[in-house]
Amino acid sequence: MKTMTDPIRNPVPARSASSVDARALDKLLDIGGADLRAALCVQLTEDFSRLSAALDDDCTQTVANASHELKGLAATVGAERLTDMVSTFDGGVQTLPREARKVMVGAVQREIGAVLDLLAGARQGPKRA
Amino acid sequence: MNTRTGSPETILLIEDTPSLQMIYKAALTRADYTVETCGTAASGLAAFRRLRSSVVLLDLMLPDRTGLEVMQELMTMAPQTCVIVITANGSINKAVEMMRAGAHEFLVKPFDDQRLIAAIENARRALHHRPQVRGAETAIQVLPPFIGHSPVMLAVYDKIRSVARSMASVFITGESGTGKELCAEAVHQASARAAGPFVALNCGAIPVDLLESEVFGHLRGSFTGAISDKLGAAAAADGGTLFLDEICEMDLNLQTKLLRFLQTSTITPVGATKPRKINVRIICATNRNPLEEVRLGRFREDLYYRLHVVPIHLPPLRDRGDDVNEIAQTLVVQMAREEGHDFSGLSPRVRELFRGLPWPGNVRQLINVLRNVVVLNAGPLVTPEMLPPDLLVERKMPADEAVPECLERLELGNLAGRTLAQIERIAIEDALSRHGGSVPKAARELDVSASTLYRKLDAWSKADAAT
Repeated sequence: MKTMTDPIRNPVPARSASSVDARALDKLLDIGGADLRAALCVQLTEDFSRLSAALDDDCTQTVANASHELKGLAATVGAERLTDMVSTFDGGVQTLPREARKVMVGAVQREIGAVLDLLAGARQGPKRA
Repeated sequence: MNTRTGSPETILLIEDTPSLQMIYKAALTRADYTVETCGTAASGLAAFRRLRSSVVLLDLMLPDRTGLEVMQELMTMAPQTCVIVITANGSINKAVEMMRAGAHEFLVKPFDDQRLIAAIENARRALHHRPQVRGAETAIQVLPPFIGHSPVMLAVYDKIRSVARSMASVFITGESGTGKELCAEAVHQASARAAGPFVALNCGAIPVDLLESEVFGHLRGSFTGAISDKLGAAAAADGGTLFLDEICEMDLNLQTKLLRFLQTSTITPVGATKPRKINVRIICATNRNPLEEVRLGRFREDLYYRLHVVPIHLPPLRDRGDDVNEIAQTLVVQMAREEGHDFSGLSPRVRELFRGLPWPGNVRQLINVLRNVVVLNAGPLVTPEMLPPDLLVERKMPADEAVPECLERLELGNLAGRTLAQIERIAIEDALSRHGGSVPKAARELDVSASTLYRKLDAWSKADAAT
């Protein structure tokens, strides 16, 4: 997966800030201790990567299911722009022409990349001033 | 830990996204609940057979089956189960379908841990109020303060009892004077929130400019005349029930704010910068046809689906059989006591007359008529001579005497070539437009039940939306 980022080695890139409500994500990740935070980052990374891959599938139903699942997940982590994009996409997948779908999937996957970047940085805890 | 593993106290979470499973489980565990998680319908059902959990958190879309199918199977095994549906935004219609099928509540992603825990707590409270078995006796009992044993009202009482156990929004429809506020209070009193406040707000009686402040409150100085902080109706109803009467009169801008309140369970008083979390159950009512209001663009469709989860239609008094006499008998004795007069009931002729009157003002009109009689007369029985003269003018005209005006205006030529279903729709829409959109009045003219018309309007609306 091109967009997938190793959550352990990579730092938080600047471009993520505009895509995700970082405070919402931090609040979410702080639901337990440090171990849970790390485990959650790893699981979220796996889930977003899995769904990103599913969007490339030829089967329309697989893409529709993935976009629906992605919508709930993106909203939960505070990825507002991704949520908006997938909300537009979800429900209309079946009727979209193949080329249009490809373009939209590309845009969604770029946004997933931004979320993955942020998750990679978030694993170590919020930045302190 | 207030629960033990492997018991009905264990919360069963059926959610197919592993990270969401982790998040919900962590939130619940932190609040001292024991949780078992499953990622598919099959594993969820297997776990339920073992645990018999009394509260189930169920995702609407699962990889192997739909949430609706899973819920139906759970409810077949254990009808008392409280199912809380988890759904992504945009699947509200499906969530509403789930509520109608018996779900306790739905949570729209994203939701925070407080909202999740509040939903679990509400479900647990509701479980304490649920009768173990719904016997036939329960179904036929009158629900005070209602009076009357007509089959249509017994069905209403039964529905009120059923919906009271749930957190679902209730949408009450019915003509003016049929007892919509009474119905809302009955739902509140029969619910787990009975100890909390019941706050009623008539959206039609408050100027549009003040309505937002009445519902959500305001801070001192937030606008000219705001001389002190005001707690809105929503905040006043925290922990209880908020009844919004004449909801269709609400301004569209405020409808947007109400929708946001329903989605987030937070309010932001006028002039405030921070939202405040509120836990209320919403009951609303209208004497209009809400679906028609949606079609006319006067009521937001998304708000309609949010609120119209469990509809209760209160039939007009003329359709309640002998209830009119049962109500009159009770009220006349009560009013006579208040007025110091000696009334003991109604004469047989008045009883017969009351059964045949159309009662356009319903119970409210009956109350006014009886008060007039009791104040101006001594008793002991109410006779036709004591009744206000204008009441008798309202007597129903027999069907064969009346020629509906619409028949004169309809030309068969315009109908030629149309299907029977199309003609039926034309006739119904014509009747509705002549009665200002009032479904009960159109139904009366067409000699069908109002529910038949609501059903047809609903079906047409869905068919129109699909095309």
